[in-house]
Amino acid sequence: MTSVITIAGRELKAYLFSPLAWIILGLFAFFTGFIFVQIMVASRVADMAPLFNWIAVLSLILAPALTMRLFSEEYKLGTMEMLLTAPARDWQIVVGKFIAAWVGFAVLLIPTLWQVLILERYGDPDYGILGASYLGALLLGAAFVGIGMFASSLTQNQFIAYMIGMIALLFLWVADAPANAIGQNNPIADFFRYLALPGQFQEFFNGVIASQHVLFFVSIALITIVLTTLVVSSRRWR
Amino acid sequence: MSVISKGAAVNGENAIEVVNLNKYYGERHALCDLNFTVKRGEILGFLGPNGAGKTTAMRILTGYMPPSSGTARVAGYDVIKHSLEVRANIGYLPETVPLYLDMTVADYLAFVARLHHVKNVRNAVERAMDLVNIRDRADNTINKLSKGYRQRVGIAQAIAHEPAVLILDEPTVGLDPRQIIEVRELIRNLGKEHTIILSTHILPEVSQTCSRVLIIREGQIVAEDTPQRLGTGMSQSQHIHLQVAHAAPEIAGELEKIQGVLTVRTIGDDAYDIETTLNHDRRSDVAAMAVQRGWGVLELCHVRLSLEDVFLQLTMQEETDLVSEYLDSTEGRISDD
Repeated sequence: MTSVITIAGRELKAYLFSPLAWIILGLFAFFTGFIFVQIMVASRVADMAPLFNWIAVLSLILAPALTMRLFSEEYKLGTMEMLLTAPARDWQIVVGKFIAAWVGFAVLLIPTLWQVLILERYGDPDYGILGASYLGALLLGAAFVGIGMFASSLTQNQFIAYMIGMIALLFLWVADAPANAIGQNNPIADFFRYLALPGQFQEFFNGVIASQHVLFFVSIALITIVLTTLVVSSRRWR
Repeated sequence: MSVISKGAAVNGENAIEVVNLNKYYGERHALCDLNFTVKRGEILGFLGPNGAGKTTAMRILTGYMPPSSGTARVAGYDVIKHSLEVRANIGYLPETVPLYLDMTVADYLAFVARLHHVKNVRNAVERAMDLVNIRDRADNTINKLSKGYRQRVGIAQAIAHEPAVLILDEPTVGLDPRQIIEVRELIRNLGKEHTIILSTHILPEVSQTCSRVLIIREGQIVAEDTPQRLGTGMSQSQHIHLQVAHAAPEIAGELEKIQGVLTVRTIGDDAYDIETTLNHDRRSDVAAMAVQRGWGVLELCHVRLSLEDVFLQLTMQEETDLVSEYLDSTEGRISDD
């Protein structure tokens, strides 16, 4: 466990000193604030569901930027060889990095809390729905960050890592598009429909915490952790 | 979390034992039946051209990747079965110095020490910085450091957890001459407390820092000895260098008459390279003749084959005959030891 904490700690500190991380935070805060104002002015309802849909969109663009350096940079700097010859297991390195990126993602959500304060000040927000929404955003973040981390483990080029991560997320987002072409009552079509991200996160933002959706995002996070560990370990049999 | 024991299993005097080590990269046979041991406190040099398998061998010893077959033990631990214990007992400086450029020296070393589960991190960091003399740069970010300083941070990173064995892959590559001297000096000092393997393709490095040399070519050990003995044990004859004040055309012919002299070659106007058989030192005979004939001896010395000559002879493909000759002659000697 200490190895995981050591790795996660270094990554978090790296975020703290990374201009890119601050830019991502700034963009996230700006756009969520901007969209919040638009929605409030238009609807005058203390409802953050539309905002959370936008948070999902922003995460699709920004989460891979948060994770792209996790492994690519280590490959490029040659520090990977140092990590892999330290007395730590491959999975501990991967989990440490995952945790750091996930915490980093959670930090992105902090600026949206002042919008909750505004709703509280001028309206009557439903904290049950808000709680479910934040939980949904965090779970979605775990899956996004996992996919981004896996992309980063594939290449030493951060830009390519970003593109792989974002395109993978985009594919998941619209996975149901081919389903309708394949047809109804077809297991393959059902599988694609199941993968589609909006269908998985939507209910959280309406205040429903359904176990199958929790399971979906947790599974993606776990699968990407396992896949990343396999990539890191692949040096042993290459 | 299992506790990783450190240094406990060292029994016997060998810090590293390698038996029939093989490594394949796909079809390529990168290491062929490597066998060697390193005694505790020894500084062993891996010498070989680029691509000879030095880095591969080091990566196996550090637990970075397993061998295809064979066994390697470091500090008594098997590199496959007890990989974590091996890694806890090794300090490794890879060829690309592993540095996070945006961290400060002290932060980086603290991170490495924590990764190695060092108990008193601050002490370990300060000790490592003192050993490589970078205390004054503790709070500098690494990207502001010169190449020489970065190399020292790399070495500090390898010794932060006080490992029994240090493995340094080309520790002086890319440094300027003054830095090279400093790093060699540092390695010699570290050799007092650590067992060290270092790789290099620079020859003087080996003769200046190592107590023993392995010359590797295409994944095989082609020679193993002390730098000094590699210099002499190589050839079937020895050479004497003679320089005289009163050069004369007949001198070469006269010298050839001495018993045991094989050939005499004139070098420039006034010097001679005298090749003699191995069994006797003919310097006194040469001196006696020179004095008797009044040639006026300016210089008379035994010429050692430089390690460079040995290296080139051993690693050049064309000279395979020489290699097998040498191997035959050394195999006898090594097994005698």
